[in-house]
Amino acid sequence: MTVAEVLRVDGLTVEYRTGAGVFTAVRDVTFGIRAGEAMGLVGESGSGKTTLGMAIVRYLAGNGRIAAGSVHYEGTDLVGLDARALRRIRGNDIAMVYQNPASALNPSLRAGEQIAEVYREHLGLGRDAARERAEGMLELVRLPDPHSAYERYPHEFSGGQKQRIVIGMALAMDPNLLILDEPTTGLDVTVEAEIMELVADLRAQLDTAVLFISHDIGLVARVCEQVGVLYRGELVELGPTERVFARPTNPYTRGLLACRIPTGASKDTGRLRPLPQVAADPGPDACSFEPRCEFRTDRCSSEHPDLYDAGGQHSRCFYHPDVRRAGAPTVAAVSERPRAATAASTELLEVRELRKVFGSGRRQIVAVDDATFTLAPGRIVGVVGESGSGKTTLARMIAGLEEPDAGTVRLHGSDVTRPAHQRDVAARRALQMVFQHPDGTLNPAHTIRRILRRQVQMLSDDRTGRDDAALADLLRSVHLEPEHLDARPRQLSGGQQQRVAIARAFSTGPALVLLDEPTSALDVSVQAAILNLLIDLQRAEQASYVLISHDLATVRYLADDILVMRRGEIVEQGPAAQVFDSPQEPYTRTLLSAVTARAVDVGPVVEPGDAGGGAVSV
Amino acid sequence: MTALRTLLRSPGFAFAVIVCALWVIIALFWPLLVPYGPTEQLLGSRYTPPSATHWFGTDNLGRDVLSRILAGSRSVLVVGLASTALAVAIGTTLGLVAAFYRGRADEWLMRSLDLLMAFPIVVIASVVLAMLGPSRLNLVVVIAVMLAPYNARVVRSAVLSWRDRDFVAAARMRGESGPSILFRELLPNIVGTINVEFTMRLALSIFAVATLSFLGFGIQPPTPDWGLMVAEGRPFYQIAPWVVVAPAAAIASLVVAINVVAQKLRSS
Repeated sequence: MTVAEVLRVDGLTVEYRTGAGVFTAVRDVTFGIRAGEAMGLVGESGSGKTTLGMAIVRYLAGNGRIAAGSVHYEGTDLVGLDARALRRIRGNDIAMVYQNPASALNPSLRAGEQIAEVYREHLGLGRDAARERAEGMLELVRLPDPHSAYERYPHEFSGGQKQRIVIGMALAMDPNLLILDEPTTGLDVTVEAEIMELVADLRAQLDTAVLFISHDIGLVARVCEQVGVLYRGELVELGPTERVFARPTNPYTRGLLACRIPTGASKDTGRLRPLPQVAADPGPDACSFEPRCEFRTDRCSSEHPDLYDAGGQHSRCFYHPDVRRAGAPTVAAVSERPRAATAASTELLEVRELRKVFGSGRRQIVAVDDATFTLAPGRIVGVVGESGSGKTTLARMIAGLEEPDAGTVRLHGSDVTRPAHQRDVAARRALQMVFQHPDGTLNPAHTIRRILRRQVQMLSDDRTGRDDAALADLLRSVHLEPEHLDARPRQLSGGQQQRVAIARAFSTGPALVLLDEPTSALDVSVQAAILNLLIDLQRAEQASYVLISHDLATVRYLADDILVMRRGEIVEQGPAAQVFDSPQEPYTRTLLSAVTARAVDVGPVVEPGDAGGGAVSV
Repeated sequence: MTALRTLLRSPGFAFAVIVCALWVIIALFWPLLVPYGPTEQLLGSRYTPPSATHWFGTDNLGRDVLSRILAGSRSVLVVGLASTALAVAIGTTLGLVAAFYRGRADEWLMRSLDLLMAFPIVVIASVVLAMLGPSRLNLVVVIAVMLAPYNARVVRSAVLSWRDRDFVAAARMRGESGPSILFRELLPNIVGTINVEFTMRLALSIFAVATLSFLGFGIQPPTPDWGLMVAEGRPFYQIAPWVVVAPAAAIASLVVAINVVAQKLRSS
């Protein structure tokens, strides 16, 4: 143990009592963070990373308890501490920023006062002195015009600004340890870039230790010197970020890196490598990753590995030298270049001067302003822009879910500018949509069979359904099993729900599918599998996509053409390579630079292949 | 099902369910259970206090109070259940329509319902029944109309949390009609809410039936009815309290039991 460690977690085990018994969310986790150092914790959803962050400051839900281990903050064990002493440490020394910025702020107090209160409480400052310091903090977290920002209420700020206020509150106490749990999830890339820059600055200035919890490997790689990879509640790899991500010694880390989209890659460069999805728990006497591991042997199913020293980093794998030797993961190059979309004489989709205004009077917001573009059959157009730029409204108008105030939508040359249910069955069949939230996209009261059968029935000319065999084939086409027909949505994982939603959209051979953030709510490993599926279906069905995403790597990977939207207007459009490589508009450049800043040197490289066009720099 | 099993393990809930079930069995089979005919006047035994032959005594006309209570359970339950079912059907439909279509229709509908809710149920019901004349059908309709707004409000707010989910958008994109989205897509998701609503309104409606009968706007004599029995026994309360206490206890046992069930259902 190093003396200068601010936080030392030793053998920490956290359990939840549930209706089904005791569930171990965090198992025997050990690590330390030194002053001024940032440690990242990465893992898929359900890996226990948030529970770990909560357990460190003992903010566990009522049914959770620390079953074993210790958490030493500057030598004091927090696990055994009485409530008062714990509160003092939580209030003075350890600050936390959680995912949802809105819930951390009191809506009835002015933003500045919430920060000033921290100064009054902790430093015993008077009213005026506290206000002065609070305004200074608002400036430090780069809120425009701190003086007037002080007077405003939380609802008057955007999501990114609110998160900055929360970070300001956290920093106002001058903490020795800052715990950030997905602090930028749900925020725009440009905002994310600013917030991460801010945290890095503050860390350098104040020598704060940071525990950074995120599912985003790229972000962790950029911010943290040390990283721990969690899988099923266990640390499976631990070490310096550069080493772990450049030379992973655990198959899970390697798999996580492999399923990322390589920087600058497109669907023609190579297929993504998703991790196999296996729900089965191999049990305590096996390696937890065994069912999904490509390095597994018989030993892995009969013995639980320890965290071994793998030379500069630690890995919970018997075969860590083999994993290291296997080197950086690669993306399989596509062996066959897909046929270029045939230049058709008629456009599939023509959008002309589409306009939508929300609200009335002084509070009018122009959501989409004179949007005009066309889409040829078999092409994928990506729509990018920050939240509030009008991308989703544009898609919903094309879908017939939102009525435009002006403009036309033509599909196969015929005007379909009217609500979806007033379009003829051929138009409805030709245009389908995949939505963002897997848990809202399927009716929880219906079985998968009922959901798919109804779709097919409503979109067939004679309103007949299809038999189970046909529905089972439909499920197989999205790599689900026929048994899933009897399941209800909540029995499926997020990835499986999204597959059903894709099956529903493709059930009647649509010519155009609108994809609204189809993978943004999913784990990276699932994301890769869904993107591969979308590409396969697109090629098989010769469908066109309108892809809406704030994730530029996804858009770059899938899209042939790009539309850049800003405040309701299409500010730039063109072929993907052109827009990404030589953006014309300053706004596009800002958007892209926010992403390039994130694109650190992790992720798979492209295998040299006959059609891959050589290695892509990452 | 597992939720129901957990509920039944709670002793309060189990007891309340047993009380409700007992009344339902009595309402169905009272002709087999009563010791005397409910309208049979036993000459020479007026105001007999509770005894082995007459458990709850007899009333001013020498009728067996226990038999009248057992027989009276049927009208209370039938009118109560019918009016509640009608109220929930009307209220659920209005709530679904208001929440789904929003806009001006929603405004008008909800404000009209607010207006209706501003009046106490029994006051309006007694005025209307005085005009229409007391009959079982009128009773059912009036109580249903007065209870429906409460139901509509609850259903509306439940639907509001569902209507903007993507599965509704997906249904619209495949061309489902409005009613189809309301009843196929949204309704199944609020069944739990409706069950709780039904139980809570049932207790209210049974109490309203008893109150209106007591006031003379409901079931007419000589039909045995709990509210009516309380009204008939009231002038003689000093000499024969059992004639009033027994039917009042019957009303209380049923209403309280249903309320307990409703509360437990709601909190589960």
